[in-house]
Amino acid sequence: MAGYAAKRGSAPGGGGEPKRQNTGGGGPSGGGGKASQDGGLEIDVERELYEEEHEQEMLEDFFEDAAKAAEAAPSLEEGDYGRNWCRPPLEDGQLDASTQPLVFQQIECDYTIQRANNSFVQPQLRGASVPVVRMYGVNRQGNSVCAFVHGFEPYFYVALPRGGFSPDDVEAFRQSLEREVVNAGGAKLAGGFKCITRIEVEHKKSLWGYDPGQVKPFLKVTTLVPNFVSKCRTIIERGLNISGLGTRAFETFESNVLFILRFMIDCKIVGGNWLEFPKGSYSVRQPSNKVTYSQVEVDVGFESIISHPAEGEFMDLGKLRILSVDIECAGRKGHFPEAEIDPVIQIASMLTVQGEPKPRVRNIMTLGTCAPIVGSEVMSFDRETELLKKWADLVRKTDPDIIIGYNILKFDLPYLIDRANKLKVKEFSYLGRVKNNVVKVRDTVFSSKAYGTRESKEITIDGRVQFDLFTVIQRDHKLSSYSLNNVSATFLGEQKEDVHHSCITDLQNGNEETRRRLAVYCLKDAYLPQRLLDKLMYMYNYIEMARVTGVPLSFLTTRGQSIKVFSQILRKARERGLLVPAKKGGGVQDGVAYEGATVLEAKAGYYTKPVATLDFASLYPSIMMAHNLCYCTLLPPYMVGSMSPDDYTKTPSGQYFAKSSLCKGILPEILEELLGARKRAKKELKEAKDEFLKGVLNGRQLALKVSANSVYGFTGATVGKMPCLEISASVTAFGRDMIMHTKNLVTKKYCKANGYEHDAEVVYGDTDSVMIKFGSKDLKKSMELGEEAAEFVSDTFVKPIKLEFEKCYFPYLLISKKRYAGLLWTNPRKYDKMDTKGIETVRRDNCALVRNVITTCLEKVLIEQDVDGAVSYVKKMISDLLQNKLDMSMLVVTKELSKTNYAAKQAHVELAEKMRKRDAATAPQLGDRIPFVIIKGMKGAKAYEKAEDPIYALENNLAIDYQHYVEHHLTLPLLRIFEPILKNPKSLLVGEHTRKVVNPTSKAGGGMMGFLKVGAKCLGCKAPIPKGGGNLCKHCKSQEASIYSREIEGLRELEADFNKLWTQCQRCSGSLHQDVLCTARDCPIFYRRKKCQVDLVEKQEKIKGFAW
Amino acid sequence: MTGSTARLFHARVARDADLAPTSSAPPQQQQLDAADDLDLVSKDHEVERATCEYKCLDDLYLVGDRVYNKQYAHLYFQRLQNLGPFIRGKVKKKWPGLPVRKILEVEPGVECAVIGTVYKDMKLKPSVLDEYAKDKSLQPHLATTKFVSPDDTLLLEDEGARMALQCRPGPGRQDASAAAAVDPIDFVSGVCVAVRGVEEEGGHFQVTDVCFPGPASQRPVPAPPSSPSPPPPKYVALVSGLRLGDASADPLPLQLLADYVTGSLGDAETVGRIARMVVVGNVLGEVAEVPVGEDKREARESAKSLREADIFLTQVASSMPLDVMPGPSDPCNVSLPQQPFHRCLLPSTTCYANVGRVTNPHGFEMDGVSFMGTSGQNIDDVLRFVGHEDRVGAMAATLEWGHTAPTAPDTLPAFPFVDRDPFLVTECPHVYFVGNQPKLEVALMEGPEGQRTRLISLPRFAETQTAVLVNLQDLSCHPITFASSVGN
Repeated sequence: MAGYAAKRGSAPGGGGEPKRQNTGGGGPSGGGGKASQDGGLEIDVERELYEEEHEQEMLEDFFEDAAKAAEAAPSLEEGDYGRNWCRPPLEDGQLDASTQPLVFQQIECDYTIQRANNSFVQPQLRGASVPVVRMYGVNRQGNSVCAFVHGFEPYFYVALPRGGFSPDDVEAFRQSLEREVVNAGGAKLAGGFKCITRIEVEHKKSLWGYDPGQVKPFLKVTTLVPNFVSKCRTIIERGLNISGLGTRAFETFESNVLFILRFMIDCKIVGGNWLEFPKGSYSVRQPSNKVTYSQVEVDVGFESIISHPAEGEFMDLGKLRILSVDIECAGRKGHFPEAEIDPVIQIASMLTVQGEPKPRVRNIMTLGTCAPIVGSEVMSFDRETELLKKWADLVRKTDPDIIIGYNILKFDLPYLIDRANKLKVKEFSYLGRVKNNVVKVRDTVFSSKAYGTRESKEITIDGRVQFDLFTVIQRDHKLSSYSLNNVSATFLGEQKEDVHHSCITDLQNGNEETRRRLAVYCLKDAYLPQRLLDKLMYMYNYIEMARVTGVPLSFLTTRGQSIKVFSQILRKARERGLLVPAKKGGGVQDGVAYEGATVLEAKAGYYTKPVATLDFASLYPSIMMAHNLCYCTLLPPYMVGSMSPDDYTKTPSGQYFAKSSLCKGILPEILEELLGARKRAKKELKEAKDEFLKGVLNGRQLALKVSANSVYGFTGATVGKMPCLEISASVTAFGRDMIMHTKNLVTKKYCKANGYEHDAEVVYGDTDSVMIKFGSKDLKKSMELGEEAAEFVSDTFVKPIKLEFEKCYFPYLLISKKRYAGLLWTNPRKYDKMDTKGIETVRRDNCALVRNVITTCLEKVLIEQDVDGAVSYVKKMISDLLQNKLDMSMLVVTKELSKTNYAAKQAHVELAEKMRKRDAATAPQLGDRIPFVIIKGMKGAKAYEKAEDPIYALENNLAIDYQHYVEHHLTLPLLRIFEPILKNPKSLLVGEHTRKVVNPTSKAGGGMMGFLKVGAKCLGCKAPIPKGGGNLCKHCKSQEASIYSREIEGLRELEADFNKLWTQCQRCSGSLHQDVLCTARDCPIFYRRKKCQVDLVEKQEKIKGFAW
Repeated sequence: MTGSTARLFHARVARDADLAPTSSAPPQQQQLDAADDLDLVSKDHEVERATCEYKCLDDLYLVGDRVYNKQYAHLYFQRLQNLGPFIRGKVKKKWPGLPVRKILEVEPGVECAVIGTVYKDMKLKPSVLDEYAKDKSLQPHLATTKFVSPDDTLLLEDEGARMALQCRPGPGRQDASAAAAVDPIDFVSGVCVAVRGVEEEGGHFQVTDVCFPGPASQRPVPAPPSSPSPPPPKYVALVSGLRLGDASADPLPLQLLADYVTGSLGDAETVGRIARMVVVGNVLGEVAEVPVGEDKREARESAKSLREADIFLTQVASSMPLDVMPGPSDPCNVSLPQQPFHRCLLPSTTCYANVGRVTNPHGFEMDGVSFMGTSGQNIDDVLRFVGHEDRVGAMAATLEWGHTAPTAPDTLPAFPFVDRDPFLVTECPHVYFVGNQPKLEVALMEGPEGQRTRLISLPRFAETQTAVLVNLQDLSCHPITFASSVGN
């Protein structure tokens, strides 16, 4: 920082002297960070605010010292390392506010409460503590910018009761409200100023319900600080005693809008877009006045902001700096690392500039010496406190806009923060952009209909967005496992070396070479998130989503779907002069029974004739558009009587909505825009040549699609911001009707009576699709009929509802509702892929055996149309399974150990306990996924007692309970898919192929087996042999050569396997000269390589038995 | 020597085209044809057998207790540990004054030499993980035998770290000679080398030259006795790929071979000069590949070919000393070094005391002339990963690399040795043969320190009906073909 300051000082001044002096540094800085979702939490923020101030005093001394020290020693990392950490220096003349506009891409936005900047606020607020919005971002050159936006005041609306409220009462209302707020503890925050700055009367309409009348007066209440908004809301909704009117409660509007969102909406700013401050409208802060680590710090009034829509030159992404982080901790044997006790031993950091193919900085900080690593900076420290300090310094110096990693929110970042607190490294906590502001951690429970409930931590690092690939991938993709290994295998196509945490401590306690080993591993883990980010184009997709929906980037990962729709509704409503009521969430509205989408009954079967699928394109959005369903078109039943039937629609669920001729709904309008934009994006995508542009456009069209679909969900979310079940129930009712309607039309038209060859049959209908068997064997013919039917039916619907023919399934295996598989064709020449739904091909609580068997069966049945082949394949697999010929990894089931005290005994919990008794060091911890196989237990053993660690089972040659796998894992899925195909599917599971069973003898048999001595047996015929009689009986002796050949053949296969498996592991771990440490249990060859070793030893023993 | 391989070697490799004619009258290019020679069948079955001083050098390759609980890292470690000093010596001579650095000590921008093991990163290299590839079409075609592609890259690794080698000249550097110095296509994984160059921005090491361990030193060939009338030369017969018991093969050439070595056919005097025969792998056909035990008939089939092999080898053994090396298709283990045939497989052959059940690779000495040979896997595997198809060139390359099987264990199964690397060539042999090759190729490699090694790529007998006699005096080679035209 100091280096830059020096440079900047020497830059030619021009109009350098700032016009306005900011007082921010002196005031109680450090705002509430992100304001929270509802009133309850906002109190929290307030408390934090005070605590913070207090803390501030204690730390101020420290920071003054630090600042001085920093100036005395201009660069902390003189020497080799750290030279490429910083952002590019500011270009000369770039700071001239009087002649040049400031253009930058904002990426994060928060606010702070501080002494008002007199140049920007109204006279009566001078000296008050008011909210100041901070916007962080980068300019075209890649310099960091922090803009302090002044003058924007929090406000909300109150509905005035009909009559009996004169303009004179407004002041009484204000005073009463003021009094209540002060009583509720507002005085302290207000600091002698009015809590309720002013109240104006504005003429608006409510969004809720169709209202043909004129605009009505509303009170616009402007408060001093954002916290007062929700406080006022509570007070007003509860009832306010107004002199002369008595106690009355009022409905509030837009009082549940987050201050930051309010600001963005009013300034027309959307997440991650480019902003421009025209020349002369802003002032640049001098280095001495800066309160953040940003290179450029400016003050600006909110009215001056020009927000550019994402078009043309403002479509791309700025040179955002992305820091990817991974840490390693030295846990104690048998415990998962705890920040209270276990040290952080390594931190890897990769800094990448958005758009560049390779990281700028690859840094690893280690505790204790570490041998150098080619291409990376290695910084070693003797003390952990130094390590933490230096890393915090790296964060400040590299100044990332976005911090990414894998599971950083739940593990890495909280661990570092807790650890720094434990070691009392005060400097560490200043990771944010704002000087003197510490990072804040708090537990949150994230709950959303779409994503489920997840416990998480909310970490506030001012001005830096956190983007945890773990959370995001968990949201966006359905995978069998979310370990970094599996995720990178899935998306990057490579296995990752996985070092068990118990092994990490040993490596740390070794020498500089072993620590280097660990460092290489740690660096790799820091690089993978960056590669995933690039591969999945997350930067493009998420920025695009933020732009489309208008919320800040950080909302997308930390909040649910509804905030995005809410943001769009607010924006639209504002354009129309409509006010959005603040509804109380929770509780089901009475009177509306809400029925879900109907699914036509599935006619289960194996269809060998093409089945055409007609899909409604964006069904729910188009229903809402077609029938003008919206909050603002909703008609109360009493109004309907006085209206002409041409002016309203009665929905199948019995609600009334005004037609668009009377009033166009804003939800349909939002949807039209979204879908229209999507259509444009798709068209541009087709024409785009540039890879970069394609990425942006594809991200955009996906974002638009998701956004359009979430609008319906928003109206149906009973715990959401604005549930309106009249709308959502109508939507699904229309959907159901349309499916039925389609079915009737198609069967009526396409029948022999109308001259068609066959009677068409609707075999199944899902939420938004109908599957029709036209009866023709010819694929091309079926496709033509499908096209025709789609058009025919579409004509009977209101625009823009459209039925489209998209694909044919041929053949098609329909099992039941929501369970089917088929070969998908979009053109008659070549099939596209095999499509399955609801079938055990991906679910992770199945072992690989089930997935493989089911997938192969479907392939055989559908692609090869070879039912007999599938049957014999199943028989072969069952026979192989019973004869112990399958790879053990096929049988491994994994389950997460989420808590220890389950009510019912569970196999994996019991196993974890068993493993802890064996070796506490390597036993699974809470949160680990436990892999296990089912072994043959003693007679009468409970199912939960039969789980065993696969490695232990391999090493001790424990017999697998193959019958269990047949009965409990294979039977049901197999019966399900073969039910429609075979007359007697049970025949798969019984018969000749199940007779031959091989049971390996356990070495460590329990109970009586422990006392048995296994006598020598002839290798050829299993006849017992007297002691010392070699390995063959006298009858088999003559065939010694054949028997030997047979054994050696087994050895050959094992040797070849051993070689293939272990060299692959060497390749993954990237070293020839060092042993492979990897314990990635997700890796398909992990158990195989172990089994191979065990088998080799056994085989070797056998072969040794042949006298040389 | 043509094309890309030529520039790799310091040693001169002379092809059989410029073989010096030998003084004595050897059975050069003998063509024994059953039809012509039927009347030549000697009545006298007694052959006077020349004797040699024979020393088996297989101790290195015998693995007593085969323990598979170790990983491969040790093998690479031993390899570099042993070849490192050799290379260091070479570097001193080749690039005097150039500092030799560990990878971790390389300073950017400073020219130096680095010694390490090469790893060739190849996208086409088959991997066991391919079996798990979801998209079946992504699986490399199984029939492919070459895995080279233009974007293969080299990495160099020493005990401490690995670094990427930039072999093509970097941008802005149009040094044509540097471009020609190193090409990844000539390299295979597991070779120990020294590279000369400079570390550039981003950790890449720009290579300008390489230095191999070079052919190891060699003992002089024992001088022929200086008697006025030199004794007639002695020979060692090499034959490979007999594929005994292969029902599809013509049995006659084998019979002719047996008759020849027992003296029943051809020139008994020459035959008598053959001091030993070495059967270089693939004694049996691919019978072992059939899942034995599953099908009783197959088991009998395999037993039958074993019996045939036993009978044939017994015939030979009754007449002269014999070494039997296992090959890739024989019923022995697959990991190199392959251990000898088990006694029970060839019960009657092994009754003879002059039969050596030996390992693959196999080393021995005849009258002071050292032999080293393999049944072919090492060269076959090297050729899958380099650009050329030059078998003898690859053999010379392995001598240059000081290692007979550098691709083991990466792509060639090998036993995970802990305390040694048995494939190191610590002494250059006088004769280096490789069995089971497509055709006979003979060459002479002359090393910079005067080493002279006879290189022999032995053809498969079952296809070419050719055996080779090696003259122990001047190391000349004489193929004998047992073509049968009777049936034609």
